[in-house]
Amino acid sequence: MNIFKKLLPLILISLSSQIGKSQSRIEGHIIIDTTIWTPVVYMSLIENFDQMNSMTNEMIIDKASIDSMGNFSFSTQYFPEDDHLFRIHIAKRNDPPATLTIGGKDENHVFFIANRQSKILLNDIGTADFLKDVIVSGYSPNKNFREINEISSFIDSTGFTSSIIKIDLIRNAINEKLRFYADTCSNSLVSLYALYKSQYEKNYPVNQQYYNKFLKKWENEKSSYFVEFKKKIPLSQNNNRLSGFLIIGVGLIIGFLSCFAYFKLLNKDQNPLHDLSVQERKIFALIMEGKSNKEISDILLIGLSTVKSHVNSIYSKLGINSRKDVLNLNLDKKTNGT
Amino acid sequence: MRNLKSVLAVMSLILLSGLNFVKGQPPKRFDISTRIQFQVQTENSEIKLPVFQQGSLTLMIRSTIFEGELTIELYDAKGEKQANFFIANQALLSKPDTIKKPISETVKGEISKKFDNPVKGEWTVRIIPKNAGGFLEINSSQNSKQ
Repeated sequence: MNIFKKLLPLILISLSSQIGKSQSRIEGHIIIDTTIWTPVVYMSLIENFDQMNSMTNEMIIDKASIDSMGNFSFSTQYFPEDDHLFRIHIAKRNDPPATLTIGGKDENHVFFIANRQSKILLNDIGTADFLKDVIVSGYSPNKNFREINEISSFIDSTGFTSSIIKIDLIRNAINEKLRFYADTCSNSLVSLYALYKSQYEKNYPVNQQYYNKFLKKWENEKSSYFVEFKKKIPLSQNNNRLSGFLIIGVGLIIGFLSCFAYFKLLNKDQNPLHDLSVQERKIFALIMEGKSNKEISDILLIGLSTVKSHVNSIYSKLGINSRKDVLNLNLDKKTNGT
Repeated sequence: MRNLKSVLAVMSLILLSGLNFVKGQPPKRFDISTRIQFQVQTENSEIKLPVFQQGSLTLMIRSTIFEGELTIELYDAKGEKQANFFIANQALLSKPDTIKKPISETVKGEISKKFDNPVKGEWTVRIIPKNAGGFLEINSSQNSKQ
């Protein structure tokens, strides 16, 4: 009995989590003319934004029948843990299940964002535009996703009734707005989607700082969506490479300057007598002892003129002008070891 | 063979659009229609759509493939991509041509677009197949503002 009491909270938690899981479903309601359309909804996993206009049999991961009331339902138990983009579509009776119709009144698909825990409701609001007007609710990123589509569709709805210049201006303004959306959105997938809709291919060569900042913000995102996007934005790699070269270059320059300064200092600290010849050093030592030119001439058994010549050379090499300067030279340290 | 097909396609477009001029009346509507069939085709090709009148342009590009991959891209006269789709049917690549493919194994893509004030000039439909077998239909019509 005690064991049961101890396990009771665990059992309750487990049960509640199971209830939570059973509520995670994609449910929907659409009204279709079954004489034209097959009453089956197909679901595809879209692994990157470039695949949104792609259709293969392999992309279809599930299907559900539409009942006589227009309802259908999918389980999300096998969905990935993190957000992914999905597409549901229907097909006409004469068409294969893997049919994608883009645009027009028969556009046959709708996108939504979901994960394993999602509980999503897709509701056809019954307008003439069919699946275009299916409202996706239950998971907030889908509201942002729809807003992005509305912003970008403004180009189609307004721009083409105007002059070419005005169209370009409107397009630029809308793309700017989408970039702002991408910058401020807290959901990584929606944020990236906003960039995809903003003609980033044209913009990134002139706005590299923005894209570096964006990738820095989402640097921990390893999803296929970001992997694909990073492949398309070479600037981050180039910039990293450029930064690498710059760092190496600056390092080399600093190293070279340091070495130069070191050797310069070393030369400065070097004993100045190293510049003197053997004979000059002997004469220098005798001068230090206070010997005259004549005395040096006698000691070294060389001519007086030769001594004078050596003395002048010593003065020149040491940068001095007289015997007094020789005696004033601070060679205490410098002569050590000579 | 591919060039011949492209030439035929373009000629059919010119003929079809030309029919509207010979009546001697101000042009009101230009209809263009073409169909291309291909078998295990890999070479890319383009179809030019002349858009030289004021008025809305309606385009419908539809393709069904039994095998391989096909990318369709639509560019306006300024070279801006206006629409695209990609369809693929890899599972059937190994099957011989004599096997009749059930409809459930084919893949179909369709673009249906209306441009109220299209950029004037030559629009381009770029066809990029990869071992693709199937067919492609292009229909366009333009309503003159006159």
